[in-house]
Formats: sequence, structure tokens, C-alpha cells
Amino acid sequence: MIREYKFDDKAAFLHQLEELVRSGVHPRRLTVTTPFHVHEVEHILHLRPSWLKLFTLIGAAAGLTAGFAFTVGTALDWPLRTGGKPIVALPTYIIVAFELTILFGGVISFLGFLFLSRFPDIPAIVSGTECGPEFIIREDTGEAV
Amino acid sequence: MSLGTYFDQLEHDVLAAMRKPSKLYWAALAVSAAAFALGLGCWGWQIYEGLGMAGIRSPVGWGVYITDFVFWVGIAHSGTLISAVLFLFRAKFRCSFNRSAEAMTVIAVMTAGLFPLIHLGRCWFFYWLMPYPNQRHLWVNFRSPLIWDVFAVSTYFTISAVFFFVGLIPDLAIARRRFTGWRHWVFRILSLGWQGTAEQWKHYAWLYMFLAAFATPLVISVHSVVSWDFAMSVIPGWHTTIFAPYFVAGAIFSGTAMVITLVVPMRRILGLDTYITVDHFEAIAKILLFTSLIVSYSYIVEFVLAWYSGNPFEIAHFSFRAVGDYRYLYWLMLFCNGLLPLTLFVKRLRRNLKYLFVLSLFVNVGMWLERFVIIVTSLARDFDPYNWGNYAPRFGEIGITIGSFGMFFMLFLIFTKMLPVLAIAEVKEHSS
Amino acid sequence: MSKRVTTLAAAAVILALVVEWAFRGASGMALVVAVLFWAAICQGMVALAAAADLSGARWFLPLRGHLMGIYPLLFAFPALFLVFSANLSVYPWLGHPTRWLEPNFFVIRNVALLLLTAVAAHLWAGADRRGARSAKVYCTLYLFSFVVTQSLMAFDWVMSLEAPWINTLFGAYFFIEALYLGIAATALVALLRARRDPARYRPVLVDATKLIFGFALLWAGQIFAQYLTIWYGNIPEEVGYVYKRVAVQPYGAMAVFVLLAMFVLPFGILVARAAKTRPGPIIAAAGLVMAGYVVEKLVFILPAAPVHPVALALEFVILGVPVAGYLFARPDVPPS
Repeated sequence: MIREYKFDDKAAFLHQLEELVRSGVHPRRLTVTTPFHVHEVEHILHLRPSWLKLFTLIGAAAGLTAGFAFTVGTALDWPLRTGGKPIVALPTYIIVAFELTILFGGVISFLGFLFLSRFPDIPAIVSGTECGPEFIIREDTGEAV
Repeated sequence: MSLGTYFDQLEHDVLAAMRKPSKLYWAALAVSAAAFALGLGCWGWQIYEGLGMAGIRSPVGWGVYITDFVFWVGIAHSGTLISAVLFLFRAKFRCSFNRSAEAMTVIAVMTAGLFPLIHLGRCWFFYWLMPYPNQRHLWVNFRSPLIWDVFAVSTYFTISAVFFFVGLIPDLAIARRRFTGWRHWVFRILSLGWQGTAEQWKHYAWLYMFLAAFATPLVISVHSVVSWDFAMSVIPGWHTTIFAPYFVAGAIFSGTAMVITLVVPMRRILGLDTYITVDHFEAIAKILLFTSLIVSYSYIVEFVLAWYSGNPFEIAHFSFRAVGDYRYLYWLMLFCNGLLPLTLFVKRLRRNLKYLFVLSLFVNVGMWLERFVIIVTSLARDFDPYNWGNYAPRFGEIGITIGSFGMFFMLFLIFTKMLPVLAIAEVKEHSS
Repeated sequence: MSKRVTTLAAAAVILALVVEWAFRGASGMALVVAVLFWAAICQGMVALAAAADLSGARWFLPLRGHLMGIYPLLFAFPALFLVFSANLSVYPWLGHPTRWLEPNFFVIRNVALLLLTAVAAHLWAGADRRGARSAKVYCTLYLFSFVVTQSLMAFDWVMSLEAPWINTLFGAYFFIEALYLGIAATALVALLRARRDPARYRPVLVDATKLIFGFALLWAGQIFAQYLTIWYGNIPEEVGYVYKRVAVQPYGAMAVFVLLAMFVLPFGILVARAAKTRPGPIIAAAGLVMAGYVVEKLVFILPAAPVHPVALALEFVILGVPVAGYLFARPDVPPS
């Protein structure tokens, strides 16, 4: 059975959530939806920190490596001296590597977000579940309906 | 008013803007679309006739197209400043502007991105700008600032688009709930099934912060790279170290002016006075004033140091800017960018929306002229008098410039009817 | 409190005069380097307070009064520049002056600007204490004079050593560095105070270290913009300046140290979230930034003019005692 608590007010919602957790309800049995991000919820429900940082780090590192590898590699592949610059002109390659660091970091972070949040949530799209402007706590009491 | 009622009212007001368009809207859309069609027509004519139908010749090989390119990339920067940089600085006033500003960024970058293609002439060879393996072993010249541009602007477009979309997700869920029919289905799919659970918000908050953290160095680096298109040369007026921060400040300056140009009428027409207040505009006006001062500082330093250096080429060039063939444009530019914004020191004027709107139009003109003056005067008068020559844009170039404005306003108008113009979820968060 | 600071400042000027007299011109640009560093810190901190005020930034408030209160020291700098003006022979243009690079005008304008900066800060502090509306005006005036003064420190004091070489970004670069140094000093003060009153000062410390991180990136962008433009253009009369400082030893090694100390290391140290409140990393980052600044000024100056190391060390300490003494030893006062 799902017991639902709806609130218009953030303070009342947080109070009820704290009460539920304090009264022994396991955070796993609680589903919380809010109209905006509420930091306190993560503390109350003891949510593990997001793994998104890892995706960002991997993306940025990949971009930096790809930026330098690609520029230096292609310059050495067909060495053409242009404008009197050295074949491996690092000051110029820094720019390309910098941009690719940001590009890969941002895109891979986004893909990581989709992966970690299980988006697109096809069942939710198909069933047309809505989320309202209220703060909602759904408690799965485990009892039969 | 209870929070619940306020949220309800907020959703209603913002989404009401997306209802049936008024006659004024249709008229504005028609004018923009007509301008866009003119631009497309001129481009089609150019593809048929060749790049020679434009006014660019030796020695001024870069003219209005590059001016437009730098102008539109510059406009885009202020959107990222408002979304990303002000987010990191925890500026509260940002959430009444950031959705429109982000939309403006994406549209402006799209508009800017057309110009390298237009300027190619044979635009079907654009893929030669991309490094792809080929049997002739040819790679792009990574030592060229034009290629840095390709990477910088592509990165900027991608990250801005991702940032725009990510910020929209919770609002698309709200719109999904409130609309019916085909729009409901579009929002249902685009919102990815967002429910606003704690887990989803947890990842979302981190992603938003990382994207803001990535977008911030982009604001500085992209327009620095664009400025290096000029600074990497050796001609007087272009080869100067101050170009990077000067152009970045100029970009934020022109972009902020465009935000004012767009949001002042939008707020009035869509009835969003409660959410976008005069205080918000005053904060934006302060950014406008601040960046104007940086641009003025750059004007002064460039001019004074040219004279200080005793270099006859530098001195001759800056004299040409002030008293030569393009002097009217130069002085108009100084007036619009350096003198007029100084009036924003007066608080009453900062809080007068009509004044801000008119001022923003002057700044838009002034900043377009600044790019034109920098590009054209340096090419028109470089080292060797034998190589001097003037430039005047021809009808096709003017048509394409008008077309770019048409495209920008047309897409922005479409945005106001298709997507929520305010970041509803963020406004809710700040009001609670 | 102001009286003690003023006395220390006056003492510093007199001691610097004694040192300069003792070295009789052999000190070269030593006093300039010392003044550049300490003026950057003092002016930079007041400028940060001014910028925070005008932008309505609230994170700075607990430290605002303390950092603004350093303004009396700003009056020492015009006096110190006058002391230095006996050493103008280091400048190559002294023998053949132009309208701008002419010894009397040179000294007068720089002393006047340093004085204007100090006066503007003084007027601002006074109006602020009274709660007068003119405080905002003086605050803006201070920022204007800060920008112009730092720009002229760059163009006149350092760039003219290699006249007629120009670098249009130099002026803005110096005042960005002054802000950078100001924020590093702010972080150190916040760290010290957070030990006694963590609830009040920890948030300031976190924000200050984030700003160090941001400024490290900004600084790197500015130095890169200058280097790239000059290197890429490869114009003989321009690139020689960079060549002398990058390809010739020991300046090349010093330049590498500057890059590490002002960007790479602070960035690396502070990129971890946890590092943003631990004292070790913050002291290391702030200390490196400051050391990097001094070495950088030496890299700019040494290939063109001498700097006597003993004179530099003495003057560094002479000017440092009042500044550090004010920042770190001042007893706690009620919030301003």
C-alpha cells in the first residue's frame, strides 16, 4: 500500500520527512518528488553522492588527451610548415585541447546524467505520469492493499 | 498568498504566454520571416553568381560577413554569462532572465555559424574545415585561428544547447502537465519522463553545476579565440594583445544590450511584470555599464599606446580611424559604446525601462559598427600604401545582414510561443 | 587603529629612504618590485571590497571592514615612489625624453595617481563610516583610480624599461594580478579568523578559495593571450622582449616557475573540493601566488634593469611588516 503525503509548504514537507525517517521508516521505502531541488532531502534520506563527477572527470580527461593527440598526431602525419611555425606548435594546440576538454566533459556529463537518472524513462512517458507543483512523499508501507 | 497559490499563478502566467498569438505577434513574425527570406534570397543569388557579387576585394577581403559573424557570436556570450557565470556567483536576479538569455545564445550561435559558410562562397566545401581522414593525407591547419574558431564555436554551440535543454527539463514537465493535444505529447517526450524525484534532482543539480562550470571558461575562451582571428595577424589595429579581454567584454556588452532589447518588449507583451521586475533590469543595466567601461578602457589604451610606441604604422592607422574615410562610423561607435552608456551612472535612468530599451538599440548599433571599423579600417590601410583600398558593402551583403537579424528575431519569436520563457522551477526555488 | 597603521606606514617610508640612500642607486629597481607587490595586495584588497559593495555581494561582508581598513597604508606608496625617483637612471629613455617619457612628468603623474587612489579610499572609508550616500560615489572613484594607477604601474614603471615596446594588455594584466593577490591575502586572513570563529568566517574562506581557483584560470588566460599574440606574430621588434625572458636562462626557468606558481599548482591544489577549507592547501596556494608574482616582476625587469637582491629583501620586509602586521595581528572588532 502506498501512503501519500502532499504539501504546499517546503518546511512542513521537510518536517514530515524527518518524522518519517526518525520513526523508523527505511529511506528505501520513501519516494520523494519536489517541484525544485531541495538539498535537505539528500541529507535526510542519506542518499549516496552522485557518481556524475566521475563522468565529468573522464570526459574532461578524454577531451584533453584527444585534443593534444589529434593535433600533434595530424601535424606529424603530414608535416607542413605554415607561417614559420614549428611542426608541433604547442601554444596553438593548447587552444584546441582546451575546447575539446570542455566539449567532451560537458557532453559526457550530460550522457552520464541520462544514464544515472535512467532517462528517457520510457514507462513514465508512455503511461503519462505527471508531477505536480506540490512536495510529495510516497511511503510504501509494505502492507497489502 | 500561499506558496501553492503563488506556484499555480506563476505556472499559469508563464505558460499563458504560449497560448494563441496576438495580431502583433503575427505581424512581428511576418516582418522577421520576410527579412529572413530576403537574406536567403541574397545568399542563393551569391551561390549562383559567386562571391564576387559581394563588395569584398583586395585588400579588404573580410567585410560585413565577418562583422556579422563576430557580432552574433558576441551576442551569444551574454546569455551564457547570465545562465552560467551568474549561477556560480549565486546572483538571485538571474532567474528572471536566464531562459530567454539561453535561448538567445543558442539562436545567436546558430546565426553566427552560418556566416563562415556564407563567407566561403562555395559553401558546399565547408566540410574541408573538419579534420577527416582522406586519401590525400590532408589535415586541417591546427595552427590557424580559423580552425580554432571551428572548434570554439562548435563547442560553444553544443554546450549552450545542452545547457539550454537541461535547464528546460523540469519546465517541460510542468508544461506537459498543463497542455493538451499535440503539444502535450511533444513535452511528454522531450521531458524524458521527468518526475522530480530526489534521485533525479540530485544528479540534475550536479550536472547543472558542472555545465555552468564548463560554460564559464567558454565565455572567456570562445570570444578570445574569435578575437585571435584578428590578433594573430601582424597588421596595425589587429595585432595587439588586448584583443582577447577587449572582445570578451565587448561581447558581453553587446549581448546584454540584446537581452534588454528582447526582454523589455517581451515582458510587456506577455504580461510578466511580476516576475521580471525593474530591480532585475537595474542589475542588468549595471552589467551593461561595467562592460562599457572595459570597452572604453580598451579604446583609450589602444589609441594612447599606438602614439606612445612611436611606430609610424600604428600612429597612421589610428589617425586613419579617427579622421580617415570611415571617421563617421568611428565617432558614432565611440558615442554609442563609450559615451551614451555613461548615463547609466544615474540611478533613475537605470530603472527607466523605456530609456534602457532605446539605449540598448544604440549599443547594438555601436557594437556592430565597432566590429566593422576594426575589421575594415585595418585591412584598408596596412603597411604599404600601394596596398590601400576602401570597402563598401553591396546589396547582397546588406541583404544577408538583414536576413540574419530576421532569422534571429523569427527564431526568438517562435521560442516565446513554443517554450516557457521563464525558468519556472528556478523562480519557484528562489521564491520559497 | 588607523593611527597605528599610519605610524607603521610612515616608518616604512623612512626606512625605505634610509635603505635607498645606503645603496646610493645600486639598488636599481628593488624598491619598485617591493612597492608593486605590496601595493598590489593593499590596493587589490580595497578594490575587492569596493567591487563587492557595488555588486551587492554578501559573502564578503564579515571581512569587509577589516580589509577596507588597510587604506591608510595606501598613502605610503606615493611617498615611496618619490623615494624611488632618485633612481630614474635605470630607464633607457632618461637620456632622450619624449613628451610622455619625461622624468618630471613621469614622477608627478605617478605620484599623483597613487595619491588619488589613497585619497579616494580615504574618502570612501569616511563616507562609509558615516553611512553617507556619497560612499557609492567614492567607491566608484576608488575603482577608477585603482584601474588607472595599476595600468600606469604597468605601462610606466615596467613597460617603459623596454621602450618603445608596447603590450596593450599589460595594464589590465597588472590590475587583474592585483585583484588576484588581494583575493589570496583575503583567503589567508579568512583562514586565520576561521580558526577562532568558524561559523562566521568559514563561508568567507570557501568563497575566497573558489575565487583563487577562478582567478588562477583568468590569470592563465591573460598571460596566454599576451604570449600567444606576440609569439604568433613573431614581429622582430616585439618578440625580442619575450625571447629574452623565455629562451634565455635563468629567466626561462623563472618564467616556468611563475607559470607553475600562479596557475598550475594553485589550480591543481584547489581543484579538489575538500582542499577548499583545509589550511595546508590554502596557505600553499596563496603563498605560491604571491611568490609567483614577485618572481614574475623580476622576470619582466631583470633583463632590462638591475635589482639589488639585498635591497629588495630589506625593502620587501620593511613594507611587509606594516601590511602583514595589520592583516594578521589586528584584534577582533565588532562587525562594520
